[in-house]
Amino acid sequence: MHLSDAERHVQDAGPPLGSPAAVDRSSPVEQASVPKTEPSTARQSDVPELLVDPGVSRRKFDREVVEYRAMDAVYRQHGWFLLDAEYPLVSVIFTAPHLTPPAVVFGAELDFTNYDLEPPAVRLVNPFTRVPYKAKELPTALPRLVAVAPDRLPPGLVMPAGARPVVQQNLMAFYGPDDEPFLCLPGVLAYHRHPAHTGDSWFLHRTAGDGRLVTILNHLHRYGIMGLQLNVEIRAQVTGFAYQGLQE
Amino acid sequence: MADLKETLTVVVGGTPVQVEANPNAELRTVVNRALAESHNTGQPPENWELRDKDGNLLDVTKKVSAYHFAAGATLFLNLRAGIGG
Repeated sequence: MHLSDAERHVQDAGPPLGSPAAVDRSSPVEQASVPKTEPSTARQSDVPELLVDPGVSRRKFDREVVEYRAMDAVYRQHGWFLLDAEYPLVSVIFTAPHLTPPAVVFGAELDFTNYDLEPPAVRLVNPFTRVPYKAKELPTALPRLVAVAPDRLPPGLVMPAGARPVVQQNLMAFYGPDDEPFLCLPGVLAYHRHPAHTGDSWFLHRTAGDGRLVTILNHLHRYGIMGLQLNVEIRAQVTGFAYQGLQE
Repeated sequence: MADLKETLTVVVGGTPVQVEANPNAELRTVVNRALAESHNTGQPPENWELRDKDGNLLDVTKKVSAYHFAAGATLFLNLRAGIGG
């Protein structure tokens, strides 16, 4: 299907603004080629509303991809593998080369439809099937530790001198375990479409580096990979007896 | 006297730029030059973080010479993640 076909579907497209569904902007082509292990939901069949001449977005998309490819060897050392980059989608797999053995951790798909009138949409996907994760399936919620201002501490809580209280904030947000989670970060479509962030317009970030391909990948790498460690637990459990024949 | 300046490659949000660094200057001067060279002036320097190729965060208040960068070393200047959630 060509973009012109997609344009014909514009009128009946679009998830509610601010919903997790807002992050789904897969092209019909992509939807047809991506195997789905789950029954298709309404959000997976949504067609993006075209607000920008695709030729303009495509040129900006190409610029992002060219810059990425120029540094591809370095990003591979970071454990990033660019699988596909065909407008409007970029598909990247994140691995953890610092682990022994190294691990394939998750995939990410960025959709640059309407870029850069709108920021890219970002989904975390199973790196093998490319099916978007549900919240309960996420290999990582992209946790980060955020310092708590002293005036936000619970009343009466006494902290040792010099201690810096922190709370964990997950960058992947969702409403229920079966929802598709979304990356809640400035420079990402779901963040700027969310009703809670109407005061933080994309246009405040658009020319400041947010929403660029490598910037978003850096955030995913930093919070999804850099702190990753192998967690190995071995338990011995007696489950019964086994008889071994004795030689006479 | 030999020229003590060294040339570093700083990848600013994915865009590599060459920056001449004075070993006796603070690393923040490299950040400022890299941002200017790449025309990334929309965010203040403190919103960026500088890392080496292994992902180690570099202290920009230290002198360039403190890190003993190899000639032509590549550093990565990335935007800090904004307030999310």
